Amino acid sequence: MKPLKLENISVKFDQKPVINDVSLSLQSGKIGCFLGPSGCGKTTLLRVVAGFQRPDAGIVMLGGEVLSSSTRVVQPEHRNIGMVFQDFALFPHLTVAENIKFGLRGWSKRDAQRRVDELLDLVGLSSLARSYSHQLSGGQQQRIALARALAPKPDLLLMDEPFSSMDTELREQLAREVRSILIEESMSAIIVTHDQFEAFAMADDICVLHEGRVQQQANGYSLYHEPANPFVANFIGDGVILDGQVLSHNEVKTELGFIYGEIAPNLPVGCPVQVLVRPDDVVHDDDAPDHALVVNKAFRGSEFLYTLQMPSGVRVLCLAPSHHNHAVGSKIGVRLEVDHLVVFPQH
Amino acid sequence: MFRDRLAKFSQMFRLWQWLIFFIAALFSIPALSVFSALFESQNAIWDHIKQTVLSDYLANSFILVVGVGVGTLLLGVSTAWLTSLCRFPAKRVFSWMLLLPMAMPAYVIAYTYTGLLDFAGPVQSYLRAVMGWGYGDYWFPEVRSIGGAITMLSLVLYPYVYLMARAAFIEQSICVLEVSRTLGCSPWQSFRRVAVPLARPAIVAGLSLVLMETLADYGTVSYFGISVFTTGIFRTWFGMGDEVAAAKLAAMLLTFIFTLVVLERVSRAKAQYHHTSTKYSQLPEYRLSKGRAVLAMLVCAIPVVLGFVLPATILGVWTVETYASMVDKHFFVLAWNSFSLAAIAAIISVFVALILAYGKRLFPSSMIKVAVRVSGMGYAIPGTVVAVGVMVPFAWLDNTLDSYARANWGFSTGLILSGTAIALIFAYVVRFLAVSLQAIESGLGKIKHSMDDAARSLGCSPAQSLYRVHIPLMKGSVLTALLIVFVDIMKELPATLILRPFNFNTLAVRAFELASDERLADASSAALMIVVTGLVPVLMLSYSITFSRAGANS
Repeated sequence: MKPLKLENISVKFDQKPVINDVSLSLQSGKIGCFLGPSGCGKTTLLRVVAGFQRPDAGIVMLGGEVLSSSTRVVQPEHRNIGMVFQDFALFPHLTVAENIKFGLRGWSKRDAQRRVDELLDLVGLSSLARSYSHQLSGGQQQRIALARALAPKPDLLLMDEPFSSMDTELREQLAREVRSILIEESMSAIIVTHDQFEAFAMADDICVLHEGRVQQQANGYSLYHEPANPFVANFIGDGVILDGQVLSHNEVKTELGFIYGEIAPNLPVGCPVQVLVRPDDVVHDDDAPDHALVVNKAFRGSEFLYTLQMPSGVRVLCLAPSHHNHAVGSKIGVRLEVDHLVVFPQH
Repeated sequence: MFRDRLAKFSQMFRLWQWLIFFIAALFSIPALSVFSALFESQNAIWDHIKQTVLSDYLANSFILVVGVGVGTLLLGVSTAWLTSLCRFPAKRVFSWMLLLPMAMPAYVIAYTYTGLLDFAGPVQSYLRAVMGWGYGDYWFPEVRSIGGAITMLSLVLYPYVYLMARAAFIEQSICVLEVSRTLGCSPWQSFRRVAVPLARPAIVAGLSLVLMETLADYGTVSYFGISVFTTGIFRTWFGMGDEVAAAKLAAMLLTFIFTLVVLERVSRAKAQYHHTSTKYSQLPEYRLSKGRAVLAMLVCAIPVVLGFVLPATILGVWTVETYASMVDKHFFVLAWNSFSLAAIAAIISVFVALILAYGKRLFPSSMIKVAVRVSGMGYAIPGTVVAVGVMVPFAWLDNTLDSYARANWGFSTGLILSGTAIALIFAYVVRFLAVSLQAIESGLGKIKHSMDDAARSLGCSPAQSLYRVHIPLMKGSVLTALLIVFVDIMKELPATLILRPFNFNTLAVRAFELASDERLADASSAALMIVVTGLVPVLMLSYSITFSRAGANS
């Protein structure tokens, strides 16, 4: 397995920058993810890695070999990078087994057949070897597409929005299955998605992209609790950003009260800041001195997600156990209980 | 930065692209060589032509174009309207039978009707026998006239207008027609005020094809002895042996045709109507009263019977009468010549079309698109003109090569290109590339681009994925392209007449020669063979238009 390295990649479409000086790396054997809203450039970046899109600047390296630079371009067919396409792109004129065998040119007949059987077994669809793609369900097509991409033992596997055409219930199960298949094959992979839960379920290392730039690269837990900037804070999970002021090196004042936690040394005392407040940071407590107006509520089974309006007019989200059922328009007591203090400087 | 640009530039111009530019350059040789004749100095024959026959050529070509234009519009639009929006008995049968005349080459129908209707033919002989008339006692329309030529060409060319108009009528969302009815238009008025104006771009497209074919026709006008550009080119070339004057005539004809093409493009660009509703319900059909239904059947039957059934029957009868003497060893040599030429040229044409269409898919730059379009422009060039445009440069090349070989190596190379089937096959491919290109491009267009990417990511080069993925996926389009080009070449007459190697005959040439020698019945077996082969793609087309239409319940 080989690590992937992107250095200063830029891509322009008609003079419009789509990827803007992106550098990142992915350790071998890990599952990475390009996560971002639509139009953030994540699919373009994936196509740069695959070799379908030539970058205007920058270097793509896989295990020390330069795949793309200003002087050298390795064609996609010579990169040894597998890809699972958003629409699966199974060849309709070939059977399932022939699809999987497609990339095994140069293998002996016996080895190729063994590899096909092995992969059919791995994805649990041995009985469909002679079927054609139009006879398969979406989930089956997905797994065949995966098997086909894995067959030639690529150095890296790319998956473009692999679950976007699936039912929501199916998605999570498939994501788990695919992850275990990738781990079993000890495959380095990159998936592209706009769905953070899919990213959390699949990836070890998530790279959040926005406007063609890397916003943050970290694992899911860190992205949620330690977002690097307001975009990531807003994009990952629910939350509200409040105005506040630094009181000391570990204390911020907001209109919901004082919040304690570590504050970066570049934010001096008295500095105006923005503070991220997650719904689970706002605790509903009937005995709390502060009260907020219930503006909206959404039932989520075991919990209610309340939208609350503070006396100053600022709105926050609050996750409360569902036996705390309060009507819209009533006032409830709230207090802050922040485990991870996230502070950004005011602009 | 500079190195970056350089790498990009070299990447852009890879082998495949050079191949496309080479094909475009090679295929524009005929048109360029014809146009270059315009700049050659005047000569005596050209002055002679200008003073004597050029005005005839212009006048006759003009009358022919107007006449065939009106004739095909009348036949094509009326039958298209009836078969798409009215209900009458046998409508479905008519809707595909109306395409049958496409299988009938114009020169074949021309001499068939001549055999039927001229002085010695069965019709006039019967009239004389029954009425007791003698020569000069009665008036009978002369088939071999410009009116006859207009009728013959209209009868076999109207299907182009019919096809386009019918497709346009069927695609018109029914809402517009219903709206026009609620606004007080009678069916006839909504036809005139809504349906036809909406279908106009399509009708004009069909009409421009018809006019192109009319200007390109050689067999009919030559057989009827009408002086138009194509016959003039032929006569100047072979009768007067003046290739410069012939090329000048060809260049004039080509200018008219390119003007036609440009006019059609412009009219389409201006009148790009968009259907405002996408609601295609099952087309409601106007139920015709009994009398009108009979009239509708008659209107549809006339072109089918006159354009196909009657001449095909006559050919059949003649073939039965003459096959014992005509269908012999020589006939099979002719058939073999026709089939093998058509097959070779069709395969080359599809191969070139694959290179061009797939290249355009790989490198969709505007330069490549222009090159591909230039390569396909041969379809607008009449066979006579292509032949002249191929002959002049090929003969020059052969002579240059020959004199070089004689001077330096002491032997003659002969006519390697112009004296062999190579020139003929090249002319065929130039002339009919557009046909295969269109079929291949539409086939490729249906293949998703992720298929290309998938094949590449699984280790296929572009050429390998064309072979392993694209061609198997569009097998149908490839076969259609092969078939249509094959049949077009079987029917082709003027280029074959000019470019065929010495002592080399095909079915089309033989049929035309026998007919020109007034051995009409003897020509029928070769002609029938061409018609029957031509039926195959026409029947396939009928099948596909009968079973595919927007809004039909499948």
